[in-house]
Amino acid sequence: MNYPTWLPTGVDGGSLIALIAVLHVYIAHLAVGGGIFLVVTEMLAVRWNNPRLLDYVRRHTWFFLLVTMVFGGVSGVGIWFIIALVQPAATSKLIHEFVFGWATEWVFFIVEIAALLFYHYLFGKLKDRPHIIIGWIYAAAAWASLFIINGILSFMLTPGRWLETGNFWHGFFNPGFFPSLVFRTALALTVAGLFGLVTALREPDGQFRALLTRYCAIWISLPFVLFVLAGWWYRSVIFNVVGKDILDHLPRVVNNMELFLWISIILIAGGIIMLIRWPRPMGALLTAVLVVLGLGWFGAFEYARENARRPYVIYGYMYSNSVLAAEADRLREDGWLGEAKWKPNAATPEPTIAEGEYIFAHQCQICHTVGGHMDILKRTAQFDVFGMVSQLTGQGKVNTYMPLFFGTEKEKRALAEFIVYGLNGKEPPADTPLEIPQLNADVPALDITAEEYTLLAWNDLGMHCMSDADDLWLFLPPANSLWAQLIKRGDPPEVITEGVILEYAVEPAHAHPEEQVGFWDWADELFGAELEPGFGLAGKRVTGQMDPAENAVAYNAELIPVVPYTDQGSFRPYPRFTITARDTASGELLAQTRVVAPTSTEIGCMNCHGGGWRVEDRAGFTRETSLNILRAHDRLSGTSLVAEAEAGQPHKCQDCHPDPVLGAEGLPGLLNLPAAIHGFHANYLPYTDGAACVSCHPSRPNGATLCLRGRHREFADCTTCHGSIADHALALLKHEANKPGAARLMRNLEPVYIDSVEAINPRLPWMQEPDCLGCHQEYQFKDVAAYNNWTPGGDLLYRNRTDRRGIMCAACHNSPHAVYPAVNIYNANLDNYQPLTYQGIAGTIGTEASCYVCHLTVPTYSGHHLHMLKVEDNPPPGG
Amino acid sequence: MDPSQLIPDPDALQVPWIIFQILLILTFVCHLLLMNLMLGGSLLSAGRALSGQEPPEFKTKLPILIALTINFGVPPLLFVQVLFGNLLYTSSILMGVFWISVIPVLILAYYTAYGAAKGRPAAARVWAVVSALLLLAISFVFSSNMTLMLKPETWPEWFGNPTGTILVLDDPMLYARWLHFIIASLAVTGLGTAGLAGWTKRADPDEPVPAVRAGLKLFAYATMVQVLIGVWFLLTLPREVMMAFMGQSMYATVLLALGILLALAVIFTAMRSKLNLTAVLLAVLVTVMVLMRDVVRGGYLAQYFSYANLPVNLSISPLILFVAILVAGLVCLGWMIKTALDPAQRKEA
Repeated sequence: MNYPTWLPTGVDGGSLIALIAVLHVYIAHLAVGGGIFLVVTEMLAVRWNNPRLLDYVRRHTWFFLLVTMVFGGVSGVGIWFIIALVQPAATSKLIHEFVFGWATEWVFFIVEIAALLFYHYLFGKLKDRPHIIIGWIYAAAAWASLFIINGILSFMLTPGRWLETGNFWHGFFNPGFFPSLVFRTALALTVAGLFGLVTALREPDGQFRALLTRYCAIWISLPFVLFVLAGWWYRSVIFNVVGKDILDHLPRVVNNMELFLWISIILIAGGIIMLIRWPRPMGALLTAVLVVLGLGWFGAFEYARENARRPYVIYGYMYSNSVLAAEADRLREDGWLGEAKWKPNAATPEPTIAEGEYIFAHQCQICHTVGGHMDILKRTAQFDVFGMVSQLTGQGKVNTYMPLFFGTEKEKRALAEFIVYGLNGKEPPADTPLEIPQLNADVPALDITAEEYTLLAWNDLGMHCMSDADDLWLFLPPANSLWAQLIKRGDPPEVITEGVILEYAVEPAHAHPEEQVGFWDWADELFGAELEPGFGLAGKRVTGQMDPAENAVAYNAELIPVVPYTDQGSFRPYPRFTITARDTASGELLAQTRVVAPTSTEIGCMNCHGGGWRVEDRAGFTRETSLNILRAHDRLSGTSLVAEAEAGQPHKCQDCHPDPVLGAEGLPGLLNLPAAIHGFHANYLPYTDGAACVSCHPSRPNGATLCLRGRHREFADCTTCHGSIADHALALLKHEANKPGAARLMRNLEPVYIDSVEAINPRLPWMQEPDCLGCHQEYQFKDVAAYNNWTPGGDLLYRNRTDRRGIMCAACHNSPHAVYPAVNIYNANLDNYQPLTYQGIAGTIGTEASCYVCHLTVPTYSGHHLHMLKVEDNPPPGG
Repeated sequence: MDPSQLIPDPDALQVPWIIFQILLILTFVCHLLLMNLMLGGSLLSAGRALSGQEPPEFKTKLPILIALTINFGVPPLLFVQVLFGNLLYTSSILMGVFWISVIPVLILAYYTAYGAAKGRPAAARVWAVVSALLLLAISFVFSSNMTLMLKPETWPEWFGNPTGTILVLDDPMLYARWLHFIIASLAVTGLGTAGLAGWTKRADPDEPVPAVRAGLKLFAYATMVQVLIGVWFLLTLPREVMMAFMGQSMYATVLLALGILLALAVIFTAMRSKLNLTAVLLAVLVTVMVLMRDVVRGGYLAQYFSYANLPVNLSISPLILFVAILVAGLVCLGWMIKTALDPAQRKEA
């Protein structure tokens, strides 16, 4: 923001830095180690009175001079040039902070050059002693220049106390200084041996060549002891500063460290192989391979070191995009455009795409190119503006290898629009509302007072979400659970649990789920279950018989594999079931009703992960969406989900993440699935209201499901009971607080509905939900207070609870999220079939004195629960 | 757009600006003289190669001169970054493609200089020409950058072209300035060849060898041309900068007068083949020129920036470290030079 950004065509600054720096660092280490190599070898030649060895030193000096002084010297200046072009702010800081360090290094540099020139030009002319002293002066000056530059380089990764004191010496002798110095010294000696081979090979006499080769091989191999010890020391110091986090979540660092270690091993092996006397061409080939590998060795090391510093250029002080850590909060509040110098005009109150372009140039293009290295197009192709804004909101929070976005929400949007519309060339979406077909919800004429039985049925959840990319992954299978209670009308009415058969049958349009999703092809891999097509995980089909429920008051059919697609492939998230009750002995039809089994694949993953909808532009997972999700998981968590899926072994999330909804234990130490998935995405979603929830859950106002359809929708959105996405995630994560992944997800989440993280009560997902009685104290609405009032356990969940008479809550009030009267977008009354048939009113069963649905006479007391008659409560006779 | 809003905020200095200013001027004078020898020597070599003459005697010294020029370029580049980094980084970015290409071009120039020094005669001629052309190109890039950093009013061009290919080719000052350096290089090289002949192979100090005369003549003629170029250079400066030398600033005017007097003096002493006196006067002249250059820079930037206003976070101990190491380094260099020149340290032939 302080400086213009250099955007050369066809290449990017970062790659140029890498190119120049790696080449220079390789040669610069040769300059350091090679000095010692030259003078030590000269001393041996003098001591052994070996003129051939001395001649080798003389020839090697010339080669060494050409490589180190010309290429090494100029490329060193080149680093100054290139870092000033790419990172001017950081370069300026390093120059000003360490100006006399640099100046001191220059003194060593000139002594080095003079000594090397004297050493070369006076070789054989000067007496041995003064020549050797000059050799040592060179070696000492070269090592001293490493000493100085090492202070500045290690400062960038581990600035230590300098961050507080700003003191030159604290910065210079930073925590990484000594381990890095010893480590680099060891590297330098190895490189000296590597390059020694090059001159050795030119020795014509085979026997002497073999001797020289072995001598160099010793130089390659011996420093490895020092190298291993110093490497371990260096590594532990870095972990102290940047945390081991970096290894878990930055595969690039890990890969390069591994590459570095492998090359180290190969180089040692190469050193040993060189002990063997090879024919000259073979020796030349081996040497060439080793020298090139040496370059890769440095590349891997420097790359890992540079990446370990991310997202900073000076750790903890300045971000890669030149923003000072101390300024970050202010920029987010006051805005970036107001501060930036290199912007087109004074900041406007509503930043435009054009201004987004300049934000991009300064905040992003330091590292990312358009179409080249670290390609922004590839990384953002999947995003629309919402996805892009979410990415910008979340970056730097969970995974800290990128900086946060520095600017206001409006500036963030301008940047997102530039990336999506300007760079990726996408069009703003057409705002045409979806066509939602209207289903028949006619209610048959029925006089319940003439009936002997009342049959109440419901789905245990207001919406069952499922995925349909079974060959790649699965987060929930097709599995709706229908419940029913048969009540014999009377005074008192009686819940019938014996002598009857309850059956369920899906409407004909949904009869063949096995033809619509691939679940049955992959059930074995996903669940280890050999399922016949059409059979659910609990053995049920879409038509069948219900079982007596464990609670002994109801019947249920669990995990019915119904899917939100008709047999023609249309998306219909509310398949209707007919429930019948018959007398076991006679087979006589006692009662019959209808219920919806809500299930949806309108899961908004594609809003950020791209790929679009699979079905009718409204629902379902495309292959692309799924692969993008798996790729992200692989990249961020080091898994290999894509490869495994493509090899025929897809996974469900619960293979690793525990999840009470499936009774999955997962892998020890991993966050349960709801905590992980909400905790991660809470860091990204740019909203604090219900808009965050419906970005993923199938309840978008203009979507094809709108699952929040019960009476609560009249005044509430998801957050009213569950809290904002941050509140929700924090409660789930606090339950998992003792697991390693929780803190990382929590550290950037700020509660919205509640004062502090400390005040949030942890909760186990699926077993602890917002308690209805939090708002409806003593069954009477008092105040909205659902968030943080969790049910103590699964047995007290709304869907599992009964009243005083053994009638389950949902029997009269319907499924959660669809509490009577519900309004369904496929037909307002689709969910209200039962209240409408039994009492003609789309409300709670028994509402407005419709007690006759089950009773023969109207009771005078609140028999089911307190305050149900909405009059002064009369306790039932006998309690 | 107001260019002053583009000027990046500078970082704080460790010691007062005057120390950096002194270090900058001292080290820049050294760099300049070495650069002049290197560039002028390369041009002379190339000239001889093109006209089919024998390569000059100093051809083997050119790679060493390149090494020393680069080495002595480091401290002025360091100190100019300290005082003007915010301007220099910006101009470097605006012409980033040319600026970074200095590095590979310099490496090529360096290796081709070795080729010219050590190669077979036919190839050496080609290398000499290539090396000189490459160094000439580098000199133009340097002149361009040092000009661009003085002209923030041209910087908004970045908004239309961030690729790093901006040059200020329409400013005649750039060409006057560049030519001023090239002619100076030829002059100093003339003096250098005279010195090479006069100081290393002197027989009779009162009877200069022909090479000394020839070198000093080259120096004198080039300096005569240089006086004209200097006047042109002065005229290409913006009026307010030029007027500083025309009496508006006593300091600048005295420098200019001193510069002209010294130029005339060195022409005179050179024509009289006074090698040592010419060399001493030249060192003073170059210092005066560097001081004038600083006045020009200050004049250009007056409306935008002054390093005298830079914030200071005083930290003396690193300066002490530098001075101590510098003294030790000089002792070391002195010992090496003494040893190299001492016949007693030589092996018996």
